[in-house]
Amino acid sequence: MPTVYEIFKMIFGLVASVFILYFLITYAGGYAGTQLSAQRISITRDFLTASENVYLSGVPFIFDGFGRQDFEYSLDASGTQPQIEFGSGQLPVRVPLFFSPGKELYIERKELDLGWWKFGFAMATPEMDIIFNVQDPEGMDAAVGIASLFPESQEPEISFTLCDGAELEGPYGQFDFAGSRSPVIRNIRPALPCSASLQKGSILVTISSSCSSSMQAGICIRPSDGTAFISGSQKEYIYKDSLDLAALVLGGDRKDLFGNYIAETLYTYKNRVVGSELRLASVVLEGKARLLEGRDADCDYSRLVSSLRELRAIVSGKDYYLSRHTGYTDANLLLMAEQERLEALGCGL
Amino acid sequence: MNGQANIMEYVLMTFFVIVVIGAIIFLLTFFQVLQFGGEQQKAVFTRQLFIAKYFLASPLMARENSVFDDAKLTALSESNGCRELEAVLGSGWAVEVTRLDSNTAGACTAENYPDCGRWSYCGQNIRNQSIVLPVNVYGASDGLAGIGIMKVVIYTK
Repeated sequence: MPTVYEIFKMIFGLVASVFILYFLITYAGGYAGTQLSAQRISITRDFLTASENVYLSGVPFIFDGFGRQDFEYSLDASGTQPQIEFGSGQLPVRVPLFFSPGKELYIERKELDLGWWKFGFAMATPEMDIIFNVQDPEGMDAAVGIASLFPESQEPEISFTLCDGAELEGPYGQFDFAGSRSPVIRNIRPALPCSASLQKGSILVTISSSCSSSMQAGICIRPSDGTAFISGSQKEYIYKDSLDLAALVLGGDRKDLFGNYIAETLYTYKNRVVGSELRLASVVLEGKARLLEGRDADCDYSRLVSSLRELRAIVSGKDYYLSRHTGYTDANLLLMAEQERLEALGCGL
Repeated sequence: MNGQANIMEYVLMTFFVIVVIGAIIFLLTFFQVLQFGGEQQKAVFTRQLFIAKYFLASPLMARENSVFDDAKLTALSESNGCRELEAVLGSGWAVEVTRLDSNTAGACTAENYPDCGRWSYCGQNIRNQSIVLPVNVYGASDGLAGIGIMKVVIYTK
């Protein structure tokens, strides 16, 4: 027969153990969760810092931090300030940055040369094989233009392959594919629709005059009217330069953690960020032209200023990139010509 | 009496265990807070450096890398540049560039350019917690480069 003291010991021990155990488990769980979030924040912040450094210094960098912990992350460009979302939080993106999620990313600074303005950006590319199926030879330039914005990298491996029917040619590195002796330029004849079995992680880029939203996989580019399509999406994407296409190809037909097409997010982000920078650039150059006006009789900036205003009016429209008007391209060409003329006179801005 | 003493022993022992667990939790939380504070300070400094480097590298303000263009600086400060720049760099920062070899230290506007020597973005008269960097300022009107300083401040909540 147990004594009262023994019964007390049992009940007290049980209550105290449950209490301590519950407290410890709750705290340990919370602590582990906090540590996990902290690690994700730290990895994402390191990625952003690396991208900022690459953007500012121009020195490429291989970032493998996302391989340390398995979590999804994606770009959210819906607000005024673009952000990287990673489930348990978000961090602001402070430089123009295009990326597609992957464990290892090759970050490189590239420039979109508009002739009168160079738009600099950082591009973070995971391991990928881009398979071009050039059915329309008119799109050869587009293929080379896309490849020129991707990096030459073996680790992570970024390669380019040509597909003609069931046959694959390659893979090629970026230097070989985008160079003057590019295999795309050598193969002038139209390719047959790609029927080769493609490896996981490869992105099929079809260049054809018969592209439509009902295509099977990857990205399809219709050079005849400057339109691109993402497999599975009903939308049409009007492209004006190779960065529009590179953004679509980088995203491919993958979806992000919100269920949006990465390619569409990158395309929209690209046009907003380019529009924003061009708007500001036009304001600064117009202001500079006004300050310097009259100091040198040879320097007449009036045509430059009117072209800058014209471009600003176009890119100030929220969805300027969704319409097919030629004003954007024309204004850029005029500005390039005017800038060249002024530079020849020693009046360059 | 013996039973009561035993019970007290148990109570004391449990109390001691709880105190030890509490101390461990307190220390862990304290270290985390300390670490967070340190990281925040580091983040502020990193952001200051980033904004400084962005200003020095951006063709919106610089003639070439690390050389400011005074006409571009004036045009940008005259425009609604702060809001546009905040869309890229986020809010809560201010930058001031001062040309040291200028005869006048007034803020530059379209009216007094080039007889001026100070440009401010997103804030005026920066004093506290700023980093100060020596910079080059190119005079677009006379083609002469001079020296100046750039102050960058981050406003923490």
